[in-house]
Amino acid sequence: MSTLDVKHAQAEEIRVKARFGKSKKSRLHHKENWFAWLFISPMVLGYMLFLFVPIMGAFFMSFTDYSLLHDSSFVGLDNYKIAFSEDPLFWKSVGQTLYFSAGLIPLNLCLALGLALLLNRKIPGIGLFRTAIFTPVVTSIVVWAIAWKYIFATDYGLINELLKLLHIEGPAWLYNFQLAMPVVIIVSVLKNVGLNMVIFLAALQDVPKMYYEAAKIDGASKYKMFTNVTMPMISPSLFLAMILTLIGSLKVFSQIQVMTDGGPGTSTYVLVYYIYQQAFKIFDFGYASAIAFILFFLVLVLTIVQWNLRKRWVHHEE
Amino acid sequence: MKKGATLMMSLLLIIALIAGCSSNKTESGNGENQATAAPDSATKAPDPTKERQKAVSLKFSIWGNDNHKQMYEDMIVQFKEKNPNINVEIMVIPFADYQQKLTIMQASRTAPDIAWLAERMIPQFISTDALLDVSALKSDADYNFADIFPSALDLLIKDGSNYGIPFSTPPSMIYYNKTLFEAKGLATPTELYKQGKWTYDEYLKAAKALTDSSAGIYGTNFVRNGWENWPDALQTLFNAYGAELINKEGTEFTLDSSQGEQALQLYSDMIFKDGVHPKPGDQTTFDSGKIAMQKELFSYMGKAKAVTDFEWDIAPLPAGPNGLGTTLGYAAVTITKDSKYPDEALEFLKFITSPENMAITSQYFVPSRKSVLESDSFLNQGPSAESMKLAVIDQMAAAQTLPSFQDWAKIDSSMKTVLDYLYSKSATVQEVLKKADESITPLLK
Repeated sequence: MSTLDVKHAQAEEIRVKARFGKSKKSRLHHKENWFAWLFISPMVLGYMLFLFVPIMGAFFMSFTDYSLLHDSSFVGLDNYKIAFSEDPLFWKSVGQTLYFSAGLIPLNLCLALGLALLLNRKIPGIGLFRTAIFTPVVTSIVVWAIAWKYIFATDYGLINELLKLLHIEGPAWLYNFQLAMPVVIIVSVLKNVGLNMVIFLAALQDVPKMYYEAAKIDGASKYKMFTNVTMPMISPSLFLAMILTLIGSLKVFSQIQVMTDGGPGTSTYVLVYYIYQQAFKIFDFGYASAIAFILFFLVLVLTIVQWNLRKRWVHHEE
Repeated sequence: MKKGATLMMSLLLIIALIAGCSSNKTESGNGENQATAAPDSATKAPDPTKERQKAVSLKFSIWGNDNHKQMYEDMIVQFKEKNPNINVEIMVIPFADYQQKLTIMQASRTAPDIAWLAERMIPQFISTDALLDVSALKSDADYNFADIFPSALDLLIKDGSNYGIPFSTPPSMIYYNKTLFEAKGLATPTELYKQGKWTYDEYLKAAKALTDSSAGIYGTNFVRNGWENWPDALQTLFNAYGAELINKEGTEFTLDSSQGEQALQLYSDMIFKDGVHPKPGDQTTFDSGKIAMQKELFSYMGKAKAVTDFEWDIAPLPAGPNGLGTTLGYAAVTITKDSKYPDEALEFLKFITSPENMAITSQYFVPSRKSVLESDSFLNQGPSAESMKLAVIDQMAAAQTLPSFQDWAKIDSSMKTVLDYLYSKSATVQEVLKKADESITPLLK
């Protein structure tokens, strides 16, 4: 890949030189640079002001016992020590975050791939189905979660009303220790499956038809074609979707805050919810910042691991 | 030509950006703009001797409903006639988020100038030195400070300073659907109370008789302001059975007693065993006509008065082994210390808690002023003067405010978490109390 890129860049440079001559190019380059900075300055300034500075602030805060209720003082690594060795709820939140990811990722990817395969054909009205499945992605997560909260309501909720028609008494979905998390996972899958579906759909449409023709001539079955042609060809997209979904799933918050508020008990406490609870409910910002940084490193490590593993199973990468 | 256009565009962008940023400034500096306009309005004002005053904008936060808001808005119109330079804006924050939001607004210096506070919030705000001392009101003869029940002021006094004025001390009571009682031919809570038979046994009997699951009618409901608000749902039961959440010194969790267990068991049985109480998460309200007996505060009166589908009345709470256990809701108006306009804020606080205006607020809030509480006009605020006497006036002496502690946010959060085990039937009442002890006791040290 890299040699190809270098060749590409060299060719481009030769072409530019041929058109403008050396001196003109550098002047233009200089000016373009200036304009580029000017144009991205709102974004960069916004990032520095509203993201980078607060992130650094939170980093320093994680070494203090800053609380809205009393003066703060420097406590060194105490917050991290408490999280790792003294706070069972922190570990529970880590476990539940992983539970959420483990439930969400396979379900999301399988469903997205299945839908993409199903919708990857040219029949009239197919756009309607694609749009329908994609619509939730652009809906506000809070609106989505509130709507599903009503659907899963114990009394007069749509699902329990339907079950009633079958003479089954529906459970209290969101007030049940075992059911609350699976319900949140399903609601989250339905919200975001459209995004991965579109990624897969694009990948499927990029697979050159000739491979299928060749496989057909070799007498490959549909299944063989899928495992030996489709899967390797779309594996970069699968990988991309998996990273995005994993990172997204570690950051899950809104649907939990709206649908269960961490409950029942602490059965849907995930890391971000726990950060919110510590910071904005009991005002312990120092400790909350420490957990936020632990989450940051967790995401970082997982991303690096996954990025390095990709070479092993991504067969085809552009 | 093309260069010029690009330059123009970037220039425009920059101007737009700067204008966008600074528009905030002009808005926050609104007071000054109005100040320049003030001389005009001052000359038009009825009192020409009044000096030119700076226009001031105050924020007033409440958790009340639309009726309360409307009432205050009418009052603000009157207030403006006397103080044309002071503008008051009402901010409604839902009760469940109130303490949290106010604390955070305070930290970011955007807190309202004047705020309602409930009993459970007051210790935190006083201990963090967030409230303004309003003792100056004592010296105002017109205000008649001595008229306010001293016991109602207790929560707001620390080290001789007075941090607010209570305006609502509503006892809890039962609102019952008279139409449903009549349909079943049952004796009403008022009748039973007068015969001295109004106990939890009778209450449960009535609840069972009134429950009609096919019509979605529940005999009773303890939950108000959402399922997370456990103190309002449970404290009267704890009191009636002689159970104490946390000891008076605030050092020990004491609900894991046999009394606490009895009280919580009754509540749990009503929901799960007898099915006379809505299930966790159910939002059925009294005004829908599907709750026969609702435990509520006097402040629910406004909503109840809007009911047209059925007849209703109020009655005291039933008695348990330790009496009625009536709790007192509690709300005070306070001024935040960070207010830029403490004098104007105090003026407004004085206005809305004056004897005249407390008579107006008494349509929703049980007044903390003796003169208003004992007036005939207050007795006429309820369904009948007799019911008001039985359920409100007669209960005031024995009623207790809800427990409040400095670390309430943590205690509240732990208790909520633990009660979910009960609500989801994942643990017995005994186990729930044990869990509560395990999570709350460490907070008290």
